Amino acid sequence: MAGYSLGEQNPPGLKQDLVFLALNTLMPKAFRLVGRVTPILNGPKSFTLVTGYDEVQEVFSRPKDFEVPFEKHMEVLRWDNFLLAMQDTPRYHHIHSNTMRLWHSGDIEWIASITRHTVNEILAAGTGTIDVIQDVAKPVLLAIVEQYYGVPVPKDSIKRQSFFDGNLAASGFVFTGPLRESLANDARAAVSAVWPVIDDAMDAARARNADSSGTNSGPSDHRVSVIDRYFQGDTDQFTEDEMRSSLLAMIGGYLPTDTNATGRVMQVLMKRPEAMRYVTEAVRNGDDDQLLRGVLEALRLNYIIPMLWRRAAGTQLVGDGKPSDDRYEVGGNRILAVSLQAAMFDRRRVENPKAYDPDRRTGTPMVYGHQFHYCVGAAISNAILIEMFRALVSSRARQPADKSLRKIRWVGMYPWNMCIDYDVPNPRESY
Amino acid sequence: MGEPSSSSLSSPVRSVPLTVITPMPRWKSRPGWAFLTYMRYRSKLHEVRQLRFIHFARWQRVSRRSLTNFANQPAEADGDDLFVFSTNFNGPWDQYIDTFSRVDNIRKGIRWLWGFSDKFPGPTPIRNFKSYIHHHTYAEQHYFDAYPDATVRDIAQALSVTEGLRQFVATRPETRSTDEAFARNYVEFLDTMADTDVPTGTTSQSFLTALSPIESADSSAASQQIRQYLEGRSPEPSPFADCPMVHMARIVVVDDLKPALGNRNATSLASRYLLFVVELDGSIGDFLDRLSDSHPEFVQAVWGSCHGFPVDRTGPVFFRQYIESCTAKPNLPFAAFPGVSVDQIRCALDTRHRLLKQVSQWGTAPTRAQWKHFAEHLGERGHHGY
Ligand code: HEM
Repeated sequence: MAGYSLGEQNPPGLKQDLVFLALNTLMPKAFRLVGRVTPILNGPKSFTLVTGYDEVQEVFSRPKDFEVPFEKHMEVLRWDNFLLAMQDTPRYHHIHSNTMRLWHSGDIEWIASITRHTVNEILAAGTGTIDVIQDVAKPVLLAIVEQYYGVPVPKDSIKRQSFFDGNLAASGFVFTGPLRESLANDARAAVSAVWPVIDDAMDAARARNADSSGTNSGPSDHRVSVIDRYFQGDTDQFTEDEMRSSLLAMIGGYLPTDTNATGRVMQVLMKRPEAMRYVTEAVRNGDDDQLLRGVLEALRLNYIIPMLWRRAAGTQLVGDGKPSDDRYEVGGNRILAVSLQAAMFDRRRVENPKAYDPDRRTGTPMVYGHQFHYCVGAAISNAILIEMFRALVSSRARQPADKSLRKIRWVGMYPWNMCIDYDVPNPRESY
Repeated sequence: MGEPSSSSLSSPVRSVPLTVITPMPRWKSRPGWAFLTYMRYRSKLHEVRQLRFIHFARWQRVSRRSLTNFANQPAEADGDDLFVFSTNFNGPWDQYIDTFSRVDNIRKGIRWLWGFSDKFPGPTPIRNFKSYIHHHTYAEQHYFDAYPDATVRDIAQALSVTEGLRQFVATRPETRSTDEAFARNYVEFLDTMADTDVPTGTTSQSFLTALSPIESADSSAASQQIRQYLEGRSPEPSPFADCPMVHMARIVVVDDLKPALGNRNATSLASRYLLFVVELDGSIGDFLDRLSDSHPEFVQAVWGSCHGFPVDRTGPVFFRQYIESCTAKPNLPFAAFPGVSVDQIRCALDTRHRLLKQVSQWGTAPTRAQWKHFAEHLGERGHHGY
């Protein structure tokens, strides 16, 4: 059976170019422009655009008044209990706390070491030109799913790609906003390449732990993968269905965003010498905080997605804390397109927003969201980005000398193929 | 050069706030505002800066009409506007006020600055001036100073010494051929170090003045509660100590605008107000975020019973929006060291302290090795400019 392929669904051509131009270039510009005039715009067809820094923060800080509108999407994906699709209820907090308990901060060094090991091995085995997305980010991210999560990804290359693409497509489906039937079938096909992998992993882990052999999947043998930890009872009344759902959340929330972020950060480093200088200096100083600041600032400038979605639960006034005249009314059931990207460029709060300034003092960084629904994977993602970019930057990642390789291929909004030249490291030095 | 006296190593006189709010009759209010604006852009208060006895100060007209009107808050009737003066000083109050009326230029300034206030007697005779200031002084319920033991002169000297030291260290004097040559340079440096100009900083500074109306259902109970909370909690550690950008901050409960003595027709304020005055580095929004993130219980206890304060909300945006809504634009702010950050001042004070201590320990000149060790150590501790 031919697997699900996101690339085939979005072949190169005029349609892809137009979609990309509209979503990636024109829309963010338009949003910023609107944001300069008004931070909230009640548009036609029950859509409200939120672009102001304060207003975006407020909407994300009022989860009961501004709900997430993904019920129908979840039906299509046959997915209950996905954190980002849940309202502010006790059930949400139950799932959230168990998820944080299983993917806990004590594992960060483990994740970093998997990333380090994998990326260095890939670079050392390469020829000096490599596709950062398909040949670096993808294998690194899948290695973490396999070793740390304990979810074996099929070895067969088509199934492997289907699993990867299925996650990206499912995430894309949710993030394109209000449900469109035309996309639902595609999303069903996409996710059908993902659920079986998770179910097989659950079955295997259940059996393994029932025998209490509890094999370990990490590189060092005393480490127990997340899925094994679950079956060893390391949660608080967390059902198997909830665990299954969390696994997809932590894979589906992760593969697309980190793939996307890797490509976009690299694009900024290639285009802006001051950005490359900053991260190179961080790597030279051995300063991981500085490196992370450099990477996240690049991500702010070239953000992964133009908007996120909410729905007004009843008529709401935005501007709590201000006198009535200064508030904005949003009618009940209106769908809000909330642009973090525009908010992070809002001059009312962010000084000189177009500049690459990782040490900027004004404004809170919001690449991982804000308040309720704040990204549960932020620490994981930071560890991966640090390790991946440390390896790439210290190998002098640069634009390919062969100009024909310089063009990035985009699939929908995802950077899909992006070649760079680098100095092949000596394997003994890089570990 | 003799040994520095112990008093030059530390100044034991802690800083004290002064908040004076005088009534400004409506007909004088606009000219008063115009004068403040003129002073801000034209005079820049050079004379005050040269006197080196005011660190931060603020003269500000707050018109009653511009006070924020939240839902359910009683509207302010027409009446005198508010003229807010806030500053701080080290030492006795009397001496401080004396300086105001004794120094020629300042006296002239005062005549103008307060000239728009109701029944201002002028800076002389000094007894009348003092009783006017005294009558219109409001007690601070909370006050924070990032470097409470340093006078303006201490800071000026510390900044000069640090700059002088930075320049001296940059010449790498320890590389001179002999200890004698080094000693000569060293003595020259000691003689001149305090003469170095105080460097101007590049940090942008902000001045926050916010007046939040206290709930009116029973506003005396609410204001009493805020008072009790602020006065009942130990002043230290202040929540502002966790906001590294804050130079000074104060909170004052204003029960009413005290009318000038002898004025029986004054109109009371419709609400009691909470006055929040802060001098800080960087943006006001970032400071408010920091305060509400690090001390949400303090924010709730102090502003929770004010009109318009967002109820049951989590997240810094609400407090930020609230305080910014209550903010009056600064008219005439003054900083003795414009652009010099809290961090730079603290480092300069520390550098000066350590240098003077070393100098007294070394007696005559240190050896080149001793100096090298000292200079390297300064760099390690992240002192600015090294
Ligand atoms: C650079 C990489 C990443 C970016 C830019 C990113 C961004 C975000 C943003 C903006 C949100 C909030 C969405 C909203 O409020 O509507 C979010 C939520 C979420 N992210 Fe991430 N993310 C990244 C990496 C990850 C990783 C590595 C994981 C998992 C390991 C992850 C899992 C999730 C989940 C489960 C949520 C929902 C949390 C909740 O609803 O409480 N993300 N992410």
